[in-house]
Formats: sequence, structure tokens, C-alpha cells
Amino acid sequence: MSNKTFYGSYNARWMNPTEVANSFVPLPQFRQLTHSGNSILLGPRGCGKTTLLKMLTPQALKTWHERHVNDKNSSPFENPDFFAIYIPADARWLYEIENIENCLYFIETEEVEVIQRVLVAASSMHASLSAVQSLCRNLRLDEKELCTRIIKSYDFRISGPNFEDIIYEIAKIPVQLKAAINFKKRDKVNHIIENLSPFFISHILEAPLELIRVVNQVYEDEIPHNKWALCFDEVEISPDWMRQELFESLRSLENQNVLLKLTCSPLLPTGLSSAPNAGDDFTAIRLWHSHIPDADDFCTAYTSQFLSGVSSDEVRDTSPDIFFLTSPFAEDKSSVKSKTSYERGSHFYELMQELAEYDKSFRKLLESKHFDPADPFSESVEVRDSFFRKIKPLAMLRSEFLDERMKKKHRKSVSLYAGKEAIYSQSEGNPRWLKGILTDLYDAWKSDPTYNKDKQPYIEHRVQRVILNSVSRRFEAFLKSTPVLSNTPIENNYGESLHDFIEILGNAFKDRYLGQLFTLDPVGSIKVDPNVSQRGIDIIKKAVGVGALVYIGKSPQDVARNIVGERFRISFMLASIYRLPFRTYRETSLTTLLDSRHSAQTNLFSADFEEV
Amino acid sequence: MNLDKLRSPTVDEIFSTKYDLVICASGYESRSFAFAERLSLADCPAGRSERKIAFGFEENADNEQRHENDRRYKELGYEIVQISSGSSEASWDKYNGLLANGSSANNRILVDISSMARSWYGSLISYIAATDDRSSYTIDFIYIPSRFSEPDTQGIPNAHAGPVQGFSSFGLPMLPTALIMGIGFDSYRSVGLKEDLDPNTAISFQAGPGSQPEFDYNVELINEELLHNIPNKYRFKYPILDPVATFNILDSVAVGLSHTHQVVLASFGPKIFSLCCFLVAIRRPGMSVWRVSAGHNATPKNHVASEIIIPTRTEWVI
Repeated sequence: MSNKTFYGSYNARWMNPTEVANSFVPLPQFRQLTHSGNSILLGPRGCGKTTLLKMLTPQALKTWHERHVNDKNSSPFENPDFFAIYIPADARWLYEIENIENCLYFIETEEVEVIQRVLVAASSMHASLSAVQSLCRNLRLDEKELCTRIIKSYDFRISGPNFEDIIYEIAKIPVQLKAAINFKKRDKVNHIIENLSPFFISHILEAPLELIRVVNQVYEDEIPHNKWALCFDEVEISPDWMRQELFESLRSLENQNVLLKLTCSPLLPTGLSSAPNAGDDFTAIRLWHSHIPDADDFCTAYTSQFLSGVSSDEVRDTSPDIFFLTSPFAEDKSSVKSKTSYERGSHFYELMQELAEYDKSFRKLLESKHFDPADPFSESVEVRDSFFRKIKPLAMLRSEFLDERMKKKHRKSVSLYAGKEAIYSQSEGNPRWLKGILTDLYDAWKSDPTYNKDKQPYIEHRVQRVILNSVSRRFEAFLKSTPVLSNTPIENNYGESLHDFIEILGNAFKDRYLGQLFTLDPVGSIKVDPNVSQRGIDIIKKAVGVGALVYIGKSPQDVARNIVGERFRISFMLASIYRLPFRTYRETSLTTLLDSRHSAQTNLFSADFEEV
Repeated sequence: MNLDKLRSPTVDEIFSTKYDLVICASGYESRSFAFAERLSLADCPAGRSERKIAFGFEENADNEQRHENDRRYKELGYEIVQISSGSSEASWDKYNGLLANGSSANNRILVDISSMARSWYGSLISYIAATDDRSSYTIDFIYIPSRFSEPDTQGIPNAHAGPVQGFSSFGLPMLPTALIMGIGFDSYRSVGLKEDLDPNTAISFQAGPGSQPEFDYNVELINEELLHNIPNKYRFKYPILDPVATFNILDSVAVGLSHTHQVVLASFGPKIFSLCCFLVAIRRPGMSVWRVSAGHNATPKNHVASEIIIPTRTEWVI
């Protein structure tokens, strides 16, 4: 059993570059990241932003290539032509910096910002110096002159020109400031800051840029690259001034040999005085999937790698298809499979027959397409592809969750949400979630191994659905405990909390999927209209940031800057709770959805009614 | 000032001491007034202390029990000072006003934390540690556990999460985070903080020997999901009736982790545990103490005092 938050221990933040490289499954997005230009990696928690940033570092790349030196296939990415410096951050650190304002409540905001700048500069310098130290040692460069120049540039009061002493000097800064801040000793804080080099209170990039300048000067022809990348993590929870300076630097960085690689939540920040433009100033690299098929290749590769690394020999020799079986929801990708799935006597054929007996609207739909509800069959592959495949997930949902009286059944654990495709869909292609789910499933198999008739290991659907439902519940618990820090008052329309809001949406969609009317394209996503209040906007931002809502753009690489006018769906991680099919259905305005949630869905003239 | 000694005096020792300052809290719990009442009924030196203050919560000030508590405090000569539960700065300023210009000799302070906001006694500890204008302080903390009552299982959304003022570590983000959490009825708080901080390692501390069985059962039930994800070797139980032992266990675990982690102490569960969190953090540079609250979302619940009084004596020197 692992010690995990919602799969938090699978967090690349705590892994060194070697560990990251050893478990790395290349994404197409990594190739984009290695290009010589500014980049912003966008995605919710767990989607792999930190992993990709750390993979840029020399140690990670070296480890990767050593592991794959014998691979016959060409490398899925090219080595970047820059030296990447990963500058870490985490929630604890960033929240503590933000809280200086509360601790030293008696000083001006500008003074608070100065203290924050010092701490951030110390962190970026610590990381940068450690990276440069590694570089020097790997290339066996003489460190003495470089260290002497660094000491002079930053006015450090140390005598021995070596990296250890310089790094130690920097590490002392937060220790000294901690006591002064916590004990509200304003004079002491001022004294500490006054004795630091101006680099520590300047623009966020000044300190590391100066280091790069000095390194380039000292080692002019001795280092193999002339480009550098500063990789800042967790930018979305950084102080406002830091976020602003970093994003504005994407446009205005004077040194063309220094690149910025930033990570951010799925929504680009707004309100920048000189907003950089995607395409011109940076590449926005999206790390989530609006549509499940987009994540298929990654999930398959990741799952195969996972299985190949488990302790059981038998499972190592198996494949995702065998070990996890196919999901009832699975799309029928080939015409052969399509033919057998909808044959007379097939599971789905019988399901349609049974459903048509009590679901009048489904019956009417079949009849409108000239099918006999008692014999819903077609020889035509085209018909199967265009119609049966379309209705399959909704028909399966209604068969599972509606009884003969068309009332909703209560089920603790549902049979639909199991199988390889369900696992991939529920994970949203989020590496952290996928790894956590796979680990839970494998642990369950280990505690009670099962084998098919060919003596191959597999996990029964009934075991999978319990675990997948448990995973959904854990995510739900996480949402319940996640605060929405908003200055706006609570409004009943959006619920009192993040979870309330998601529950409102989830139930609204469920009512449509399981309502009186069977529609081919029910409402399954929202568009944020201009009538949504600031409170609603704040909740949506938070929901997107934690992965409860997924942004749907017009293309797989679309990113949103504004929330209003954009489209979102609920994460499939919550599918089993709200009875969601693993599909993206059409949108409606959020206000319309919220306004209509109190009216029963029996109105034949409602917007969802499908004209047959 | 530095924390020099920690011990568990007897209740008689507490009652027989005349303090320079007694600080209690006046809230919506009947437990708020329980210790002050016992001091009064005992007609003891502690009850006749020089100066007596009751911090009154700004929140829920119209609550009926609160009015009753205020009235009774005033009858016993307590000065009521209104402070927001989330406001460490207001309590800090108050301590500064009360303590800054006193004598340079030993100051004896008695603090009833039973119904007190954690930020209030946290800021007292931080204030004492920051001060250097005394030769010594002796601060006695009193905790009266409440009688068991059915916990509220609905869960109230978290409104605030962050370090307690005066207890940030500002440690550079080079080491992974280890989160040590007290476990109580507020599972939402624990889960929320754990998810927010995303620690590499999570440790739970649950009241053990001396705790009422009904509490134990319900705490396990409410926190089932949280505890399910914490391996047994990372789950600790502390003797709620023995603050010194609790402090030692917590300190030992925290110090062990601090070599490889940035340690965050989360002061959930019984207030005796959060007291120990503050005391450990004030001794150990590089550790922080965090709190999560429901803020204005919280609904008042009247906890009734049990018969138990748990004293903790801390001695501070320059």
C-alpha cells in the first residue's frame, strides 16, 4: 500500500532526474518542449508537467539515452540544444511566501514583495548554482575562477571560492529571514536584505541571468552549448508579481540565448500588461486530452511499461488487453469487431432488444431509423458505424441504470466502469492518475490472483469496478476538501463549494443521459456564458486546475485564456459517480443548465428532445 | 527565548500557583468556561491571579451560550477581548500589550486552550520565543477534553489553508515535504491539506491511550479513507493524557524526517496535539505548522467539558 494523496506520491517533484528518466514514457509534447524556443506547459495536477521539465535536464537526458542505447527505433525526441536548469517550487513554499503578508501585517505591500523576491531569488540561485556545479564537474572545468567571479558579482562575503560555500551562503538567507519574519523583527529583516546584492531584489530573472552571463564569460568556448533554459515550475500558484514577470519575459527577454520553460494550470493567465502571444513569443503545450482517443497511445505505452516493471513474472509477460480485458464501453475500432459486436445474438443486440421493451423513447428512436425494436440489426457496416456505435454508450448506461419503470437504479458498484478502456478514460491520460490506478489494480490482483482459461493472469471486471469506483470516490473526497479561495460571496446557483458545483453539473448531465428521452446527442458539456458571475468563474478556474473540469478546445492544442466563451466537461475520473459515458457530448450554456436543473426532463419540447 | 523545560505538573500545582496572567477563551462551547469555573469554585491562588483575560471570538458573538460565558467571565473579574479566530496578529498585539512592559523577573502565565483558537496560543508561543526582555517565563497550558458527542459527518468546505503565523519555515523547496497530521473529526481538513500540499510522505498522529473509546472508533471511521492510504508504519498513537510523552514522540518522528524532508506539522485533532506541534516547531528550525479552517462556513457546536484536566508546564529562558 503506498502513502498517497490522490496519487500524490507518484509526483515527479520528489524524484531526482535519474528516477524521472527511468520511468519516462515519451509524449509527443516532449518533442515540442525540446525545441529551441520559449514554452508554457499547461495542464492540471498530475498531467506530467514537472516530469517533462525535469526530463530536459542533462542528467535526465543522459540517463534516458543510456537506458535506450540499444533501442532499434530512433529516439522519439532529439536532444535539446540548450542547457536546462530546473527551478523547483512546491505548494508549501509558495503558500509560505504568500503568507508573509499576514505575518508582517504591519509593513507595506511593497516591502512584503521585496522579501518575497529575496526568497525566490535564493531558490532560483540555489538551483542554478547546483546545475552549474554539475556542469563544471561533468566537463572537468576549473571552478576556481568561476566561483571567484560569482562571489564578486553577488557581493558574497566568503573567502573560499568554491561552489559548496556559495550554495551554503545562499541557503542561509531563508534561515535568517525565517526567524526575523516569524518573530516580526522588521529591523532585522531590513538589515538582512540591505546586506544582499541588488540581484536578490531585482526582476525575477536577474539573479540567474547574471550567473549565466558569468559562466559564458569564464568558459567561453569550453561548454558545448550556448543556449540555456530556465525551467520554472508551479507558476500558477506563484505570487502575482512573479507570474507577471515570467510571462512578460516570454516577450521581452533580451538575451536570445536564454529560453524560458514554464508550467501553468490549463488556463493561461489574464490581465498581463503586455500579454505574450502564443506562436510569436512562446509555444503553448497542452498536456490534457479533451477527447479520450487522444490519450490512447500514451495510455497504452504507459500501461505496457508499467506491466513490464511489476514484480510478478506472469504479469510482466502479459499485455494490457489480456490483463485488464476490454471495457463494455469500448469503441469498436475495426469493422470486424464492429460486425461481431452488433450481430444477432451479441451482447449489445440483446441489450437493445431488452431496453426497447421498456424505454419508449429508445424504441421510438429505433423505429425512426427503420429498425424493428425486436430485431435491431443491420448488415450494413456503414449503419453500424454511424448509428449503433453512436447509441451504444447511452444505451448501455440506460440499460444499466434504469429499471423497467424507467426509474433510476441505485448501485454501489457498477459493471460498466471496468476494463482497459475504462481505465484509460477514467485516468484522462493523466500519468499520475494512471499510475495510481494501475498500482491499485495490480495490488488487488496480487492479493487474490486470477487466471483465464489459457492460464494468463487477468483482473476480473468485478474487482476492477470496485477499485475504479473507489478511486472516483477518493477524487470526490479530494474535491470536497479543496477550498475555493474567492473574495466573492457564495451564491446558491453554484453551490457552496467546488464539490457542490461539480455535483450540480454531474447530476444535470446524469438527468439528461438517464431522462425520459433518449437523445442521440444529449448535453454533456458546458459553455461559460457572460452571465456567469465572478464566483462561478473562480470555481471553474479551481475545478480546471485540479482536473475536475476539462477544457475542450476547437483543436487538440487549443488553450484558453479566458473562461467566458469556453467549453468544459466533467472529468471522466468522476464518470462512475455521475453515470457519465466516456464521450464528449454537445454543449449548453452554463446558465441555461443551472436554470433548468429544477425542471423535470419530461417536457417534450425541451431543447434536448431529438426530432425523429 | 528558548523552550528549556517541559513537564506535566499536577492539577494541584496549577491551582496552588498565583499567576501574573490567566488567559482563557469565551466562545459558544459551555466547555469555554469550565476551567475558569473550577478555579473559582476551588477558591485557589490560581483563581485569584493578578490579571485575567478571556479572548472572545468575534465569530458567532450572538450565540446564546457565548453570552452566558461572557457574563460569567465578567462576574469573575475577567476582561473580555474580542478577537477573530483566524487572527494571530490581533492576539500577538494583545500579548505585546500585556507582557511588553512588565517586570523583568519570571512571569507566570496560565492559558486554558480547551476552547481557544489554535492561532491564539500558537501566537503566544511564537511571541514568547521572540521576546528577549525577560529572564524567564513559565507558561502553564490547560486542556480539558470534551465529552464525546456524535461528530458532524457532513463536512464543511475548507475556506483557509496555510501556515500559522509565526510558524512558517521558508525552507527552500529542495527537499520533499513530509506532512505530519493530527487526526480528529475534521477529516475534510486533513484530506484537503494533504491534497493541497501533495507531500511525499504523510504521517498520522491519533489520540491513543487515555482517549475515550467512542472518540477512537469515530475518528477511525470518519478518517477511514485517509488512514487507508497511510501505511501502518506511518501511523502513530499518542497518549492524550501525557503531553510530555506526546511531545517526545512527535519531536522524535519530526526530527527523524527532517534530515531528508521539509517537515510540515498539521495541528488537527485534540488541541493538546496542536500545542505539541507548536512546541516542537519552535524548538526545531526548518519545520512549519499549518492550519486549515472552515472560516465562516463553520457551524457552532456546543462541546461539554469532561472531568479531566490535562496540564502542561513550559519553562522558557533567554
